[in-house]
Amino acid sequence: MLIRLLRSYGSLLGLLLIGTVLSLLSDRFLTTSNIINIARQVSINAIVAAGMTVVIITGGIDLSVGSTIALAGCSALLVARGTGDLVGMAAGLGAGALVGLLNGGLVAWGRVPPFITTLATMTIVRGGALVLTNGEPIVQSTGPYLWLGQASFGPIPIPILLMAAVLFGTHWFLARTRWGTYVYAVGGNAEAARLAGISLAGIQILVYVLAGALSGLAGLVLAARLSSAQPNTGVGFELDAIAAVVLGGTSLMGGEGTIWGTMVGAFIIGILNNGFNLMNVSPFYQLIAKGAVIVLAVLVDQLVKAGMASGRAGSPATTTVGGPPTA
Amino acid sequence: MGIRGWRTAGFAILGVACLLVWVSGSTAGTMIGFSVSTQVNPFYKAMADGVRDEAKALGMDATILNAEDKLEKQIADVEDLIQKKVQVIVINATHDGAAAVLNKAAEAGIPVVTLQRGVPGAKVASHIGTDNVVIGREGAEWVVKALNGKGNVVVMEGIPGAASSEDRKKGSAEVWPKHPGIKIVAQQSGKYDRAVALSVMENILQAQPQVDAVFCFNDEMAMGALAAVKAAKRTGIKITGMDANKDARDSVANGELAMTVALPPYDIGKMGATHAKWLITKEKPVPPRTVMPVSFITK
Repeated sequence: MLIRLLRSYGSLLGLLLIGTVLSLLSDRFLTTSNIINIARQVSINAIVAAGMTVVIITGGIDLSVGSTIALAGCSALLVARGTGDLVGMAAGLGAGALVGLLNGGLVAWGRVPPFITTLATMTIVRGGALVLTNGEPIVQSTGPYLWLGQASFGPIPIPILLMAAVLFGTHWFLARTRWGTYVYAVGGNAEAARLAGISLAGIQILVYVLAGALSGLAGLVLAARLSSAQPNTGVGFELDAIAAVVLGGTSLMGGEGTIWGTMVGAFIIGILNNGFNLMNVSPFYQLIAKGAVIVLAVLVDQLVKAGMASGRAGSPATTTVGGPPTA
Repeated sequence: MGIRGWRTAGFAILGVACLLVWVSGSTAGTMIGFSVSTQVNPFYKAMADGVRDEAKALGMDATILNAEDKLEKQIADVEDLIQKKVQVIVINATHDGAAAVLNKAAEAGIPVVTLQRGVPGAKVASHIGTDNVVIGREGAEWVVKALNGKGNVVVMEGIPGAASSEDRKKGSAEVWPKHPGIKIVAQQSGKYDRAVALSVMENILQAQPQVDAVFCFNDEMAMGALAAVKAAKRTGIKITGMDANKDARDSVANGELAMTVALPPYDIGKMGATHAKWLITKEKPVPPRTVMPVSFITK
């Protein structure tokens, strides 16, 4: 019972634990303005990580999300110059979805492993963003698109509302739709899913397009927050997204995982970064601490899983062990 | 693709260069080579322009080869310059790995001048560039002066462990303790990235009710810090950058950024050609190390 509880709420307990420690260490941590600040910062990673979760549940991975963020922001602002912000936003989302289509097509039809596919598109898309912009940032300090990053609805900044909408939407897709069930089925046992009549290619393309489009949305929010788009932004964002997914208890082997876990994972990373800055921790130690928390969380997760397995079969040695992220 | 392809391209460029020399017929006397790391970045484009223009002004012929940020291409380029028997090789290295081929040049009796990036282990007649320790020190001194020696300062470092960031940190760290009125309220890494700096600055603003200046180790982070300060509706904070990128210069002109440090790539290139000339004519002794001054761009 305790183990089952830990399994379901382990990452949430971790979040609360880190939160408690930080509020004891810094009196600026637990203030309304700082909580809103953290949520706004987390929004970009959470939006990307929601798409990453769906991809990882199918047993895939998407390393191209950071580059897609850059490409989407840059294409949005470039198109917006000639045709207005609305068309620009659509172009940004479209660019993200197109990258997803390329990823999904290569994985589903080309049978190229997802890691290789998205490692390749990561550099191709980064190159594309640099070519589009000639390596220069695109600055646009006025226009309706800024609403995405800088406006508020009452006290709540728009990026937080967008994050909430994306998380609810992705959760609903995974938990309440037929397609969502197929996503788990493909990740759990692709061959069985295929024999059951599920279109493997269809699901794979769907999840990569979703991840690409959500990265595109994150790119738009980031551009709006900075009033500009940079072709070299988003480097390493894929690692933060993967870390959030893994911290949330989703297995890199596929077949299991939840959006709520990912949300908690994204917040763990967010409050760590926030706490480091509030307490002025040396950047060198931050790198160590961040990695240690990720390893620790996944280690605890594995122990709990091993505990569950031994509870059932009495043999922890047979437990499958998913690897921690390379972050 | 591949070294073969680049080498063919290198020979093609060489062929055209030889043809040009033959056609012009006048510059066969003094010939220098410049191997530049890349021409995509405007900084290195200005450096190559400096070498080209000054060589021409001094009556020399300069062969300029672009390594396209690839060490193997740069090594092939320098080998080509040795074969071409240029009298001086000027290089803006892509990587420390260029040392071996530069020593080959020195063995062939061709003096080497390195620009901006030093190459440890290479026998070099002259190094010309800016010094990040000096940039950090002079930038910090500018901030102290702008605050009249009193105020709360946030330092935004670059990528932890990157040589440029650590050197700029070292230079600025010499300055702060000399001014008891200056308090470093936070020293954090923005990883040279605008988006990262935005979040880091937002967090620092949560913790620090009074910030008077933000000293950033590049312009990208200064622009990110500026976005955070604007969003928080805080005023009276002097934000400074380094590199003098176009949008940072625009922002300084608008009165948003207080200052950005400008490096002189064109002058570094010109000085490279000048030292090459001196090495050939022996008209003046060439200093082994020349630190080029930086300038501050303010409104």
